[in-house]
Amino acid sequence: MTSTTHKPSLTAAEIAQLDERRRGESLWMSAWKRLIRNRLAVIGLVIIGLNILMAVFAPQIAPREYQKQILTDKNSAPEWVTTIFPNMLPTEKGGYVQINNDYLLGADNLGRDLLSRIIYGARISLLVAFVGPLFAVLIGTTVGMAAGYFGGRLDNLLMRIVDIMYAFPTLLFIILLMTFFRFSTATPEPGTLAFALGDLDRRTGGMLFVFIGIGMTSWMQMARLVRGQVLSVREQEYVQAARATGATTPRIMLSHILPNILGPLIVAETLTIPTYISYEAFLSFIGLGVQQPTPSWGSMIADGARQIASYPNQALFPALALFLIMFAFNFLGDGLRDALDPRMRGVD
Amino acid sequence: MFRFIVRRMLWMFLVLFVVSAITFVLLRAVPGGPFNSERGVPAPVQRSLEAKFNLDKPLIEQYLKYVGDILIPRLTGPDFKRSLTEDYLINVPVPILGEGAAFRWMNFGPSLRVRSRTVNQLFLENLPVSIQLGSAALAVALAIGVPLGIIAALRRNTAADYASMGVAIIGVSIPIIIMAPFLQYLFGVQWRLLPVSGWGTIQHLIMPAFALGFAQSALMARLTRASLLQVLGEDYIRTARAKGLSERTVILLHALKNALIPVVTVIGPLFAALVTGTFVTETIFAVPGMGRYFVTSVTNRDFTVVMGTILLYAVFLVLANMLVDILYAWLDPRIRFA
Repeated sequence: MTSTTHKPSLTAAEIAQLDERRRGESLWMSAWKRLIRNRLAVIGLVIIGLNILMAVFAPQIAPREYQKQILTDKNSAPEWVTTIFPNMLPTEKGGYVQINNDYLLGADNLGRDLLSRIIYGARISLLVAFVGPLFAVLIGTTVGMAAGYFGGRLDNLLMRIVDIMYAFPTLLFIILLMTFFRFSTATPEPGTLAFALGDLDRRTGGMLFVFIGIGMTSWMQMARLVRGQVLSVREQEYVQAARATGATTPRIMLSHILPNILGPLIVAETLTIPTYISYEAFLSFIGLGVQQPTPSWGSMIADGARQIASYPNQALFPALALFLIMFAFNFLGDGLRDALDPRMRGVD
Repeated sequence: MFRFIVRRMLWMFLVLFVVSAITFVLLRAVPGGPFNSERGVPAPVQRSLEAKFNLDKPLIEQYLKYVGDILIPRLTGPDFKRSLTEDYLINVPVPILGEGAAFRWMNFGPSLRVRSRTVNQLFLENLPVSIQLGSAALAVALAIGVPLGIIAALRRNTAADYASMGVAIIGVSIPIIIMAPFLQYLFGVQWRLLPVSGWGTIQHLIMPAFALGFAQSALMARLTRASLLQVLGEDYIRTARAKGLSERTVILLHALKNALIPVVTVIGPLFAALVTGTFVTETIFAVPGMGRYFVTSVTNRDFTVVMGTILLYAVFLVLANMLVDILYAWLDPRIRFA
């Protein structure tokens, strides 16, 4: 996506003028300015910000408890929903839908408030959105930098490991990992590591293993990207200069190379976040993700999809929430790409 | 070229070996087996079943036998009879060695849970379905993505460009688990245009193929656009225009031909990704493909089916990547086989 406010080509004089104006501000500052000039990226940032607020203050915002079942209210819907979906006829008009305006978006098939569950569900999706990149950065960047900087045998070994991991069909591998974690920690002896992990997983509503599963598959792409980037800057003058002045290897890697390759890494990782979010949603959709009653948009869509013909609202609202957050991260990623690498603007 | 392919094939064997070892360890580390007593099997029956399928042997022996059955090819005479324990995926007749002689390879063993079926039989029944679905999705991705990308690049920074790229960004933002139920609701329930789920006719294929292919079409559109924009800035395009060729000739013959190279090269991995990634779609649309068995096989500890599926898909992925490398070198002679 290109920014709608930007003119496609600039004359040399205009570029010089821009450079003049830019002097005295850091690279990151000017990137930030470019980013907030991009309307779509700002929309993405705002959506993400609102979601973060919603996740943090879920107990304060949610009108009800997310796990509370009121079976007499099951599948009820407010009046406005039935006007949008005319085939959801209210009972008083001879239909099957119980009208209850206390639920802003309706209640699910166990009589739980959809709105409250969507608000709490933001916690899972956002945590995945930050945990995926965390693993990718911790493992992927370390592996990639080591491979790219030291080269030779180490490079060969690390990249062959990445190649092998790439041969795994990702989703199948995650399913296998999830089953492994869930079942091997289901009934162990207290006091063992397996018990501690399983306990932590159950207490986090099944989030822990989802994070580990996604994290273990998220770092390979990053490792390849970082390696390529390191290779391209390793022999540049400023690195040689640093080496000549006697900088230590960790110092060269962390304060000379890393800042210079950070841009592409941030862009790539932001654009991968929607993938992590959809993995979680998918895992919860097939029942291997977070465990009931913890709400996840994926499991809500799965529940709703089962009765989509009768109560489309139960799948629609969590789907909208999921769509919006993925949309927001995609916009932000595109905006970041334009902002951090102006040469690439409009070229994808 | 030949040496390159041989080297990559050897590398593929190593990859498959490691993949199978990791899968085996993960699967066997999970407590419970396919015939455990909580599944209602009496202990003596469980023991004899485990003996029948070699599950009572030491793990390392089981692993070596399993991998050996798959990797080691066999030459068989006319007396070969297909059985639960001997069923090969690849059977090449060798008439020179006599009637019925054949070169056989890849015995994935019997399924532990689907009674009297071998994993190969399950593959033969279900893999074609997944491949059909994957091919149809690939067609959807190309048919939507490439034209969108071309339009966006040729009308750069116009409303058409923004609209195409807007569609693309919406496409990548809708996961299949959203797309599929709503396609079912709109086309199946509301408008009654297409069957909600199932398999067998062209109508059954449309929705799952679209659900699977749409997100990829967005990626194809971006790739096509980026590639075409880059090509349009090349000197040889200016030369073609300077020669006085019509704009249509310049675009169709000079620009598109080169711009589509990256698009062609991603088709291989994309196809592999689509075929191996069908099972969300298959679950939702009740398509009888490979995906149907995978999740239940994992929970049922159907070791051979899980291992077989992962290995077969790994072969797909590795071959697809190898194909890209070869294709690249062939399309761009500057790249050497390193």
